[in-house]
Amino acid sequence: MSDFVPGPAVTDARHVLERIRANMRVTIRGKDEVVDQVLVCLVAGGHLLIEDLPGVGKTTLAYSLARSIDCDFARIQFTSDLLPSDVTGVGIYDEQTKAFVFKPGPVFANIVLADEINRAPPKTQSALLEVMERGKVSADGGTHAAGAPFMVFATQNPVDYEGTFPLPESQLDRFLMRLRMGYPDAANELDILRASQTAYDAIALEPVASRAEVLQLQALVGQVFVEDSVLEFLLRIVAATRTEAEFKAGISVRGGLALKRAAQARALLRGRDFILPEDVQELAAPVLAHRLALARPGADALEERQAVAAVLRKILAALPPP
Amino acid sequence: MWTEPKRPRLNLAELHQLRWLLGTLLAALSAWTVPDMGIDAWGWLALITVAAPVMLWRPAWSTRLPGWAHRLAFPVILGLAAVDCRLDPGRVLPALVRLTLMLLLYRMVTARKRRDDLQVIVLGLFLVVVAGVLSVSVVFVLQILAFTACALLFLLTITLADTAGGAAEAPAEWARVRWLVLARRVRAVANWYVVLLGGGLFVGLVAVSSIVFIFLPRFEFENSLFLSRLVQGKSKTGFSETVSLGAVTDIQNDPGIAFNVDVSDRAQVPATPYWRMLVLDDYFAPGQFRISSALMGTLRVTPDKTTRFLGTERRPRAGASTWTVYFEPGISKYLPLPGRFGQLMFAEQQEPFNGNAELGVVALSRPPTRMLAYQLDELDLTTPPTEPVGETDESGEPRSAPKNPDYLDLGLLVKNDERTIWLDKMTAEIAAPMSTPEDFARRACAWLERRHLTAMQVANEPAEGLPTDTIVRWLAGTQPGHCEYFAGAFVLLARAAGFPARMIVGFKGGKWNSHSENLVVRNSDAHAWAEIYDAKKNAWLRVDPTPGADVFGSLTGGRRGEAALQAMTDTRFGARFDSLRVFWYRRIVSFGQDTQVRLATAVQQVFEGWGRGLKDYLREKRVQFRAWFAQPWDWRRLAWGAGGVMLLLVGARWWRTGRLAWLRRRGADPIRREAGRWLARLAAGDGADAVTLRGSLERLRYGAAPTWPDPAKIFRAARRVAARPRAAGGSGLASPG
Repeated sequence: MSDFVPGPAVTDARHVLERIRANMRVTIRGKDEVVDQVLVCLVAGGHLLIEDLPGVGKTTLAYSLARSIDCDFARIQFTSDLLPSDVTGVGIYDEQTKAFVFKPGPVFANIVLADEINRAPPKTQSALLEVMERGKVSADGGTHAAGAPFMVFATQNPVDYEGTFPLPESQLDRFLMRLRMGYPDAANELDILRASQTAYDAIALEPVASRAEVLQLQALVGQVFVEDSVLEFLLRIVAATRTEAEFKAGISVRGGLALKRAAQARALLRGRDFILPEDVQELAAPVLAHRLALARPGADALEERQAVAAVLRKILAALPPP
Repeated sequence: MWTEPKRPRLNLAELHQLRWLLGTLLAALSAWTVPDMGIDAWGWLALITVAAPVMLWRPAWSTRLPGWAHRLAFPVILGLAAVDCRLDPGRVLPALVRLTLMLLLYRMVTARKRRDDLQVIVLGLFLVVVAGVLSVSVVFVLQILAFTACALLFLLTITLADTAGGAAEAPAEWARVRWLVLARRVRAVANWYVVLLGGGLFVGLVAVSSIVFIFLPRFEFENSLFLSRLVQGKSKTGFSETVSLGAVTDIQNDPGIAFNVDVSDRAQVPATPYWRMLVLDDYFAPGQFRISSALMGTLRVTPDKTTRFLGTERRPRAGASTWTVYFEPGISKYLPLPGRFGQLMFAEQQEPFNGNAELGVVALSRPPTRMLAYQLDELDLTTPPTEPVGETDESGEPRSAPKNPDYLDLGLLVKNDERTIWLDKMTAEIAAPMSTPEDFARRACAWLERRHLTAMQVANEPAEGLPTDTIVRWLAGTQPGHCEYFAGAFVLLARAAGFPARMIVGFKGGKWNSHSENLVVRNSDAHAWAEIYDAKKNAWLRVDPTPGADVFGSLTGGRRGEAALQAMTDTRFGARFDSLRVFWYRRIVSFGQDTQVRLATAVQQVFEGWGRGLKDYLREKRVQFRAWFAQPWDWRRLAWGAGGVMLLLVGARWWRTGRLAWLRRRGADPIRREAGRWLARLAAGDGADAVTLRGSLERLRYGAAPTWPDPAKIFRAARRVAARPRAAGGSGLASPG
């Protein structure tokens, strides 16, 4: 059995991804890098944690992706009184059939936007996290498969932490990447202002890829070739976070696997059937940063994020690519 | 976008640690050239030797010196240098060297900035160059090689630290150095190609220089410039025309090498060679001898600049040998001569000089200021010197009287004065009036030995009732004395007894260096002895009246050859270093170009021999193969042929595929490595072909092997792109740095 992707499949994959990217750019202006990283996350089959202020286009981003790949989209606003069943769904007694019928919750969509995930109590958070990990929901004594493809966009506000339940590190580990959107530049913001639409459901985007194509892409990722020296390079980065005195703990094995899969997805996005050290370097920060905590925590979350990013940069600078 | 892969670099702290290490090594290395100069600076040298490991062990201590110490350092160093100059006036260089050592020590124990590092290099260079000029030894070659390599690395580190941190201070963690960790880091970041290339270039340069050195004509390599005069000071008075009592003993206190001698025939070497330098026949003042003007007149002047001085013009005899003397600078203008010689030849032309072979004295116009090499042909160590004939006229008849009246002159002594009475009394005690010179000498020496012991310090103060003349007073008493007292006393006694006698100064003995197989004579071997004239033999007999010596020396008898050499062998460890000096002298000195031509021819012959041997071997094999091929073919030969062809094919196959597989299993895929090199070499370009090429190279480097394009084609394309000018192609070589 060959352990590498056949050439035509790579070309097809690149075309599909380019179509999706071009489609999303129509609504997400001036954020090509963010769009690319979302696509990497999609192809790798991971979930995304977006940390940013409200109103920078997080919902639009998730909705545009869902529309582009012809997938169901659901949005859950996490609040302190949100119950696990509000997310996963609930069993309701059906008078006619005289039995409990499971009413699927919003999590059964393909693209789920969990807005302000840290506002919900841990029990509700973990209900979502179980679906993220297993792709299944356990309810009423049965298990129900979530959608395929399935991707969660969780968001949280990095500034306003009042009355929140911060995600524990073990749960953060389940997100493939953490991103920041940031404000658009002036020219792009002017374009956004010119457009009349404000609500995301008013976005009229035609699908450019099918769910089946997305699933095919996800199946292809594992076959992207990783040369031994690049794998060793990746391992050196992971090992360096474990020996770095400024971190409380290093990257887990799951974190290393996540970085490898994300790099493979990025290679596919660039039309390659092998990964470059550059793929690993580019994705190290978005994939690893949220899995790391400082040994001496910073004054606030923002400051801590910056400190972690700085140490990661130092580690990367010290490690030569093969 | 494709980016050039970055090579890991040492951080600023590590660069400063490396800088500290190299700076300290350089300072220690250059300080250890001082012992070669023969300058007394052992105290400073010991301090530097201790400071080097301590400062490498605890670099942090260099930053702990209080501010006032820094402010005081230079005034104190200058003060010490001034005191040094005052204590040893007239000798500039030793003081300068000690000042340099003080500055180096200060720089070693204090934190250095860039400027201070450069100062260390300059100070070190000064010491190394001075050592080279003064010592002219093989050790210097090793020292300058080590210094150059170390200095180059040091400068590189300084530049890297500068580039990395600009003029910024070294980060605080530089002082917390762990040398093993640093060594591992240096190993990790070193670009071994560059290291090998640099090392190879250095070795190549040294090799080429050596070959050039062998083939180039020699230009006074042994010249020690004028600096040797600064360090040696004036030559000692023990070997000048006028010698006072104690002057030779003065020289004995100096352990430095006076001259080295290469002997052609080991069997000729006597157990105790006597090296005559100067004949002192005139006792002109109490305790002072000099060469008389009459004797001076017998020294013939060479007409012009010359390399040859003809000696006794004897026919070559069986058993006569050739000795080469390497005479150190600043000793004397009189050359040490171990016996009669047929011809004296210098390695270089000399200014007109004086000499008389019968007298056994050759005097240059001035003491040599650099090593002087001369060869004595047909050397005869067994025949005593005869009476000099003086200058001859055109017909060969002597112009001056053959016999010099001063040999019997007692100098300031007036007949029948109190001192002559003393001497007469003594001679009467020593021998009957009609004894032979030999008999008298033996008796006089025995008489002296009975009355006097040897000592370096002599207490011979004037006293009531004793003669005023120094030597006669010493003779009248029983105080110990040194060689000059014994020799001087013997001369006076012999003359008083009516035997012509004279004093000789020079060297006695020496050591045999078994490493370089040569005789080494030191200043501490300086000696004074006497000669007594035997009219019957018309010969001057050597008499060494100093107790412990064989009275007639080993002129005719005594041990010779291997037995003598064994007794003289220098067993000190330092003999190894002394031998290096002689090896160097042998290389640089050539009496004519013969040695050099022989050496160059030998090198040429070795290379030609190799070439010829290879050519012959190939020709022979070709002939053998043809002969084998021309024979009739039977099944056995066909099988051999087929087997050979099969073997070749298998070999070629393995070379193409098996070798690659084998290399890949060892994790050293040559194609991936080559592709990686090209990726690092080609900068990002905007040409479409450059983008495609980069893609292919990336595939070769990181892609799965079955998906590879043809590596040879890709590497050819890469070579084409690299060769293209940057402006025209948009892609080319990455600019350095």
